[in-house]
Amino acid sequence: MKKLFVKLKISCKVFRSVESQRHRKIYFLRVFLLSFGGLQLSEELRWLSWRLSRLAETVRVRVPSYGSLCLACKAGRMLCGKARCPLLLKAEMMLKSPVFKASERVEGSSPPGVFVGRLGYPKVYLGPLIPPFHGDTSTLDLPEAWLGKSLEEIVGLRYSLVRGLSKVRVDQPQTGGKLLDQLHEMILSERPVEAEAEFTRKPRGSILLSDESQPFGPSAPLKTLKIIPQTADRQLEKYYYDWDLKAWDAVLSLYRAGLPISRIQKAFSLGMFGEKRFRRLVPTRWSITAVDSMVSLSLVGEIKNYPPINEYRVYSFKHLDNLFAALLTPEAWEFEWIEAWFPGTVWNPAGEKAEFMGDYEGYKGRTTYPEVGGCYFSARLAVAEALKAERRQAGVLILREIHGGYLLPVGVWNVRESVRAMLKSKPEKFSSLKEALKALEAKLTIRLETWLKTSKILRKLLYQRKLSA
Amino acid sequence: MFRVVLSDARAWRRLLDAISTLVEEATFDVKPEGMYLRAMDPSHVAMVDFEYEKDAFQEFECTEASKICVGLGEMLKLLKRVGSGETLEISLDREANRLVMKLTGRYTRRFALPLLQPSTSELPTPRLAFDARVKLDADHLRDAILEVSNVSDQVRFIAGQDKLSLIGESETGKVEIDFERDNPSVYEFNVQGEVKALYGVGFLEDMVKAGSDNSKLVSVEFSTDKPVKLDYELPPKGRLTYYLAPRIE
Repeated sequence: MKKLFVKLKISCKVFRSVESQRHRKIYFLRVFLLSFGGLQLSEELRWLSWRLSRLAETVRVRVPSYGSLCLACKAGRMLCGKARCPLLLKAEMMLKSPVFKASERVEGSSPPGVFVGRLGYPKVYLGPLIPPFHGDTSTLDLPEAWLGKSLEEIVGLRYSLVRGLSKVRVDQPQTGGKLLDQLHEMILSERPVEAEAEFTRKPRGSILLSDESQPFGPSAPLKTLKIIPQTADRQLEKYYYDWDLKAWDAVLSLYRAGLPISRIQKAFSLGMFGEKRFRRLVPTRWSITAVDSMVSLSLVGEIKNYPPINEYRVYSFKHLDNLFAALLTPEAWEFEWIEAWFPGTVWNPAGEKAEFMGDYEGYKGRTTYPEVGGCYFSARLAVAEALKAERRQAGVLILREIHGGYLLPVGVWNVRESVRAMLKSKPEKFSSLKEALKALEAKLTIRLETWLKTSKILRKLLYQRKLSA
Repeated sequence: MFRVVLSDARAWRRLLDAISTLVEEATFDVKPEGMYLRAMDPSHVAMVDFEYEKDAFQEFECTEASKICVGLGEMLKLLKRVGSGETLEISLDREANRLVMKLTGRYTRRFALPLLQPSTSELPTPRLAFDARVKLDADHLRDAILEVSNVSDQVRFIAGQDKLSLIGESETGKVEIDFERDNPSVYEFNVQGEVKALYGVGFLEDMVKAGSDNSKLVSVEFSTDKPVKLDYELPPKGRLTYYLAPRIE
């Protein structure tokens, strides 16, 4: 009876999100029937579930609590405005992937990888990521090496790891625990780690009926884990055993020593740095942003000591149907990051008006969390890195247009690596702002006039006068 | 030889706060007549001009003109726990290249902080003529700017024969504030013709906050599409002046 209640509650939420009156009735009826029939077997989801029938036991189709356009679209009407149905792409890749057929026992070479969930904080799900095969798997969990791969390949990478689950309090790094110690050993290892995990049941995955959900591999509660650790990375090990050094210093030292951001982030999420009494697990999602934020903050502090660049520069870069463009100005440090989503959904079918979201920081930096989220810090890191290498500062505006071919979000690494690559490419250089803006507009599909409404830097460049002039 | 004593250490901290809204490092010009500072923010949009004459100090000893550059962040950190009624003595330790601050009150504290390389560029006094000059209650100006900042990132100054208006407008709403000529919070009102200008609210906010912490009165001076000058008097013998460049759409 309780179950039924929960289902009815979900159906009510779906019901509320539907716009038109006529649809409401049909929706209510359908969802009502769904909640009795059970989502998995229902007629309503046949278009997706028959494709996944071979995986019926391991892949569950979930309806998000905020409702779903996909229920009405059925991969036919293209309501989300994407070039292809993201759910069908996921289903196709799931069928190809070996992990959704994995048994209760999985053995393989972990990249090494771990995952810390964020739900239930401060009691979170923690576990290893293990592929069901052996070999050099190091790139499976190394976003630094993913630039240039197709969307299918990236989804394939995400669908190649099985995740173990074990509920742990976030302050466990202070006391230690068997599983946590094993995971620490895995992450310390320089090369992939042979691992064998036993689960209490077969690993299961899910497809969320939403065009904006990241691909995730299957998971199962962990019973036992056996690993054969490899030689430890000496740098990482040094900071792991330093109980008195602050996490901030450990992260920055490792970054300067040349360790990839993704490796620092994994160790950070397992609470492997910092003063002992403050060590704790950090959910993977938060730890990525934490590391980007810390490293970029430190780099920005350094570049402020350098002179500004000598000219206006325009860069651009395309990746996974994302269009990035940058304008660097010969000014003191300031930074702005703006995203334009081409929704093309039922509510905005022509896709002429994109949704804009952006954040700005002046010379003194920022104290609040940006509205756009973690990608702001990933972009700031890439920018600060490039300027630091050149020993210059600049005013930096980065624009990102997200087009229909970007079927599903793949993670903030996409922003970090794309902006890194963009700033390594050869820029167009200009001595006047006017020419630079013209060149910038030529790179973009949205007109500069529209960007101007959101961009503080553009407005400042055009309208703000100076005292010295 | 340089040594000064300030009777109110807290007031000094508030002044440093006011300067730190624009710059991270401050180069003070110390002369036998007093202490001066002029600095521009890194984007060259705003400027601060600070004067504290000899008589404003409880004791003032300076035999030759020199430049003293310090990191304001560090100095403010050291002065964080200054109590009311404490006196501050500032002197130089040339040999160790340090600035020495001695706080006397409940007990004696001595801080030393490293001197930085002073900036060599001399900033000229901006040559500006102002068509509007309005002397206001500093707190009221601060409140007005903060209210405008709720809806907009820029504020339009309009001065006519009978009032000074501050207007902010954006998609989120509109705020309009009038200081009438005969309003009790207006002390002087001197406007020629109609004067209009637009300024970014970011800097303005920091300036009016810091200014009102240090002074009760402010004189606002500006001309059409020209910089605005905010002049705060620091009794007995001092002055804190901000300049801000306009926006022109």
